[in-house]
Amino acid sequence: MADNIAGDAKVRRHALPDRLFHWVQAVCMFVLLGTSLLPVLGVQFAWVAPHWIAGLVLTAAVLLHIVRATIWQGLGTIWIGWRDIRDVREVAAALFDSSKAEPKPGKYTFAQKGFHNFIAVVLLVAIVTGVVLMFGVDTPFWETDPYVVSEANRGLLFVLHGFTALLSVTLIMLHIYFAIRPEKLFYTRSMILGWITRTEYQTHHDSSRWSDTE
Amino acid sequence: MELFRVDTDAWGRELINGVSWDLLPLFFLAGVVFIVIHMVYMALRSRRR
Repeated sequence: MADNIAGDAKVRRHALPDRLFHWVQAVCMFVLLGTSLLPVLGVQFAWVAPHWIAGLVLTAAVLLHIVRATIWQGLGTIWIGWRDIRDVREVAAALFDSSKAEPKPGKYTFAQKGFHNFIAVVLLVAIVTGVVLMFGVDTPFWETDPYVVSEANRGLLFVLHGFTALLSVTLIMLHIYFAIRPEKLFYTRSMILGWITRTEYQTHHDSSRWSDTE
Repeated sequence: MELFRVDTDAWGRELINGVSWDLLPLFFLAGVVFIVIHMVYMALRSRRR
C-alpha cells in the first residue's frame, strides 16, 4: 500500500453497499465451490443443503447489485466503450515504445471492466441453471419435482452449471492474484475500507473520466 | 480425457449428466499458467523501465 497515506485526503471508490456485496459474493463463491468441488476431490460430506443455501444468498445479492447498479449507479461506469478499446491500443503501443505514456483510465481499467463483465455472465449462467436445478432438490420451499425439466435438458443444465464452476476456479485464482499484487493493493484496500488516497487517484486515474466528487 | 459425464437411462440410452470433473486440473492449470506468464511479463517490464 502507499507509504504515506496518513496525511493524504481520501477519495471514495466503493460505497458500503458495494463492498458488502463484494464480500458476500466472495463468501458465497467459496462455499459454492467448496461444496461442489470438495466431494469431487474425495472429501465426502452433506454438501447439497449448504450449496443451495449459498446459491440463494448469492442470487439475492446479485439481484440487489443489478438493481442498485442499474438504477442508482448507472451502467456507464462498467460498460466497455470505444475509449477503453483505444486505451488498450495505447497500452500496447507503450509496451513497444517506452517514449509513449500509458493512458490513465476512468474509475475502472479495461481489464477490470472485462473481468467484471465476464464473471457477470458466468455468474448469471450459474444462477439461472442453479435455480432450475434446485427443483430437483428437496428444500423447505418445495419438494423435489423431477419433471420440471426433461432428463436431456437436465444434463445440459448440469453441463452449463458445472462449466461455470470450473471457469470460476480460474477466475477466482486470477482475481486473488491481482488483488495481492503490490501495485494493486490500494484497490484491495478500497474494497475493504472504501477509499483510495488522492495521490493514488491522481497517479492512476484520469480525473476527466472519473470525478472524485461522485 | 472426457469432456462430459455420461450415464444411461432406464432404456439403456446414453445421457449427458454434466461436465467432466477430469477438466478441473486443466482449469486450475490455466490459472497457474496465466499467473506465471503475467509475473514474468511484469518482472521483465519493470527491468526495462
